[in-house]
Amino acid sequence: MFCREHVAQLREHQSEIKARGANLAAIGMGDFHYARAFREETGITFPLLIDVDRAAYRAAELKSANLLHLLRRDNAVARKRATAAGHRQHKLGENPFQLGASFIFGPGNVDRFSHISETFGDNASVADVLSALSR
Amino acid sequence: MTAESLSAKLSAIVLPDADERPMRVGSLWESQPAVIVFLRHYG
Repeated sequence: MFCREHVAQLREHQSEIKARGANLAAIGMGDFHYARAFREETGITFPLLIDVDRAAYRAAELKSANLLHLLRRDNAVARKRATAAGHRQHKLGENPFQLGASFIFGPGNVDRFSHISETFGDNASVADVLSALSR
Repeated sequence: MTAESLSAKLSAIVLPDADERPMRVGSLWESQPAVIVFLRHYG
């Protein structure tokens, strides 16, 4: 549900991201059928790239959670927030403990912003992303 | 020696989009900034 919440926030602010001259894209795992269903259900129109082998996840050195993360207070708070916003947990993929991240790169190979998730509900806020794009 | 940026490390990776069209990831930020979000899963 956290992914859907995060994607919904990005979708809502996509025009503001574009207005700052930036592209927006998501990278996910899983198969094409799963990815297309996610795209249709969330209504996203930005590119959704599929990293079946997690090559990009490994290159970015993204973190993995474990069962103990389910007990964390910050996850309980995030779950309550996402549920209140109408997001529900859907089927998990093959790597349910893989965590995500948000980055801003470019133009060129320049790293401008990085938020690497520490646990399930830990996503970059859209306000932080827009602020970084404005710098 | 300067450490390679993460964007440089990711730049050459080619991934298919949901319609199975290949895209070099770095093309997204070649000439303009790009917000790149790695999803946990589609759940």
